[in-house]
Amino acid sequence: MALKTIVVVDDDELDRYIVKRLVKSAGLDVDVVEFVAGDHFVDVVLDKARLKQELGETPPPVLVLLDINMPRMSGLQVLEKLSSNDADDQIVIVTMYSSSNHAQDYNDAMKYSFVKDFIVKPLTKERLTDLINSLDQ
Amino acid sequence: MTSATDYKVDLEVCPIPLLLVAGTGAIVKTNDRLEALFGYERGELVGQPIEVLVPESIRLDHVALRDNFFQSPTKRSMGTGRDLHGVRKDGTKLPVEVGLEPIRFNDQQMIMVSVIDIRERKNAQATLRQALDAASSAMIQINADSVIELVNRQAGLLFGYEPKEMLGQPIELVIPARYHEAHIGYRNSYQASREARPMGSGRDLYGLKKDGSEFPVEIGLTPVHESAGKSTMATVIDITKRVQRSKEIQRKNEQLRRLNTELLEFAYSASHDLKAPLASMQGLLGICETDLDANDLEEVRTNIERSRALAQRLAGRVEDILKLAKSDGEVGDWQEVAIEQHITDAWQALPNDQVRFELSMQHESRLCTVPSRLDTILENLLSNAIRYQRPSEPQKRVTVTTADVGENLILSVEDNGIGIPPEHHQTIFRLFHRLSDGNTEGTGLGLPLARKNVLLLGGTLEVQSGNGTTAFIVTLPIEQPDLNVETT
Repeated sequence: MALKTIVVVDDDELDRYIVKRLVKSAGLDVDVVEFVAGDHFVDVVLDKARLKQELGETPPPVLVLLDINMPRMSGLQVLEKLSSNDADDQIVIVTMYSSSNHAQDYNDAMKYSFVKDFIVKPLTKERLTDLINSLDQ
Repeated sequence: MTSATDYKVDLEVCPIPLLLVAGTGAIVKTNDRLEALFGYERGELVGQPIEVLVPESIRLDHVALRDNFFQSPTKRSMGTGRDLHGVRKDGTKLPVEVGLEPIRFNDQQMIMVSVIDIRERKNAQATLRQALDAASSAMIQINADSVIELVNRQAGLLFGYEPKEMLGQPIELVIPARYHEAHIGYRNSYQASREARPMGSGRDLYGLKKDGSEFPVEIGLTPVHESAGKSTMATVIDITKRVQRSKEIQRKNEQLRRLNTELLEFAYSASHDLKAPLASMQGLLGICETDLDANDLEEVRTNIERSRALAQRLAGRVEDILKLAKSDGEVGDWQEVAIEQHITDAWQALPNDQVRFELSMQHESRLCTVPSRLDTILENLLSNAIRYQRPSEPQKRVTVTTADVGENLILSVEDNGIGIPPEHHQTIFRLFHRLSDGNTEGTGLGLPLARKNVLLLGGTLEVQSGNGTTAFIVTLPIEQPDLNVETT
């Protein structure tokens, strides 16, 4: 299955820039869609019309790189919202993406079936390529 | 055989020292034991006035009392409730108990006087008294009606009375009034079982001193059977120091628990917030390498500048964390401060362009506080008020107001900036917690730092936000509070 879209949910502008640059230098043919906050992302995912508008007609799979530490609504709270609203069907693949390798965060994130991986920042070209290859299998 | 001989035989037969005294006060007869007791030769006392056996200081009174007694003689013991002494021939005093029995002899009204030597008993009592007074615990014995019948020296010292002031008083004398009613109930249930046991298990007990002050006590109860009835010996221990120590330990434990929680929170926060700028720098530097290979020097320059800004941000965070850690130490020296000066100094030290500053001093009290901590509070609240202004607001404003409320000084820092939604009013005081998206200059440590300092000064910090204004309200005691305060 071919991945068409990568969603980055991160309040840090530089970290979003790094993802975009890596996608480009890895030569991946995907769109990168940015969200600057967890609550913004949840609002869009829970609204089918807006979701279509933001992500286009792209069918799943969509890879979501979700930061944990964000103002107002953390990445872990986003996961809980998606799970309790059955919105995870729409997204399918979420990868936690955090500067922290705190065991508590890891365990809290990996208990959701739609969370497939846990990446500790910084993301590298190699890590991104491996991730996408593993999803293709 | 004369009747006198009969009596002589009778007096000699009796094992108790006896004498017979006539209405004139003259001694008519004695027995061997009485003469031996008072150190006289056989027959030497006969014909002498009875007062030779009475201490000189009360001889005159004794004559009157004796005359009185002969008016209506009845069988009774002498001097009830008083310590009686006899005087021996050599002038030494002798503690005695005296019994009086009227009889008729040779057709005259006479009194048979029995004298018992109570030296041994007195010695035994004195030994007991010394033992009680030597005891390190306070001891109070009460009778079945809860009247104090014995008090040792320690008990007197403990409650602030002369021991004899306490004798004959109800035990409620040394119990705070609010416990009197309950104590009667407890007393009755004790009298029903009368076991030796500690008093009031599971309850805090307090004693009442003569000066009205109270202190925590531990009391042991032991039943004592006196000839007069069921008495109880209460052993009282002042546990003021023990209670203070245990409170101190409890306080320390709470402090440790709080610090431990803070440490865990800190470790979690640090794993995100200290590592985040480092991870971004790593990412940017990796991109720089790629761009160098591609000879895109313009992009390299941009990313090096970004990395430098990140390093600066990280340095600021580390600085704030150190401040926060340091603020856990000693509270510092309390002194009177010129609050207006501190507020204006704090404002002028901040980048406050474009923001109008209003100061409204409405308090009259003199504030005593720790100046460095007050400055930290002011700096963080004022810099937040400036940082979170609305860029589009043409009349950016920060207003500081003071007021007196009771023994507290209220200091409000109000702005007309972006505001704080109610659901975040608690979380904003957490470490590293930020509300705005992206890279604001804030470290997420300003409010925790302000709050910690307010709590260390014994005050409170609250936030009110709505109708276009946000106010942080600091309530500070104007004098140093008694107790160490918790900063949870």
